[in-house]
Amino acid sequence: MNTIELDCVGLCCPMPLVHIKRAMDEMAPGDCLKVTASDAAFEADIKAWSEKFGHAILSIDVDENITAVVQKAA
Amino acid sequence: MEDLKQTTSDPMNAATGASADLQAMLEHLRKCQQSVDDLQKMVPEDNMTIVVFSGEMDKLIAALFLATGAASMGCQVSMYYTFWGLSALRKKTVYRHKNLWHRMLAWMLPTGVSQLKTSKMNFAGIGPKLFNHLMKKQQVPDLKKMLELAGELGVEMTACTTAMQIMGFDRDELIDGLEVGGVATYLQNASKSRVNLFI
Repeated sequence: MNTIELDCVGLCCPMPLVHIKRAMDEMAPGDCLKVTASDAAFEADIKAWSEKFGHAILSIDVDENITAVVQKAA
Repeated sequence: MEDLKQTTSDPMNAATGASADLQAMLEHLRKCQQSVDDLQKMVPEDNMTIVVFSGEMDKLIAALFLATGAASMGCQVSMYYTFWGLSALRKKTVYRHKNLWHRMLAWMLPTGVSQLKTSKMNFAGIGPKLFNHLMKKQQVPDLKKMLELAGELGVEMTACTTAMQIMGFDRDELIDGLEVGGVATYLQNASKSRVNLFI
């Protein structure tokens, strides 16, 4: 199981989603994506995005930036 | 009881009856399957259509950001460019073989996304420059990049043929990778889509 990191800090919606989709397409089921973003809508967006594809959100940390770990669905 | 008597006394008759029952059940099942198939055709899929009627920078930003966002969420997105929206798809200004009115339109309408005005605060062209500057500062891609990105993400773009004829735009004046279509093309997609927008 690999963890891939993705930095989307400074990007506005919908660009983080575009990058996440691209990264996720390259990943194998079970792999994790650790993505950091600064867009205020990102927390809600990543939840909606993951639910849409059935990926599991392992954690979301909100401080200055928002960091989410998403596991790709099988 | 009557039936039971009959079946016990006449096995041949019973077998024929059972076979007829089976036939009826199969027929019923076939009809059910057909109904399910028909219903499935009517259920909207996770698609999105956007009619891009406007030809202003800010409205195109909204349309393209929604399209790329939706495509990133796994939706099949179709954009239909009609009327003023066609300006955004022009790649060159052509005057040859056009009548006076079409030449006038070719001259007056923006050629491509980089020439679009804003719907508010255009200030004779300063508005779009200001917004491009602000977008660049926020690392937001400009319309040209968004249009390319939409293509990369598999967003289908269709130019309305009627609007093309009215405006006098030929297919080769518009950017590559476009389909041309009419109302039926749009409706076929729209009736299968959960989200349909008119911008």
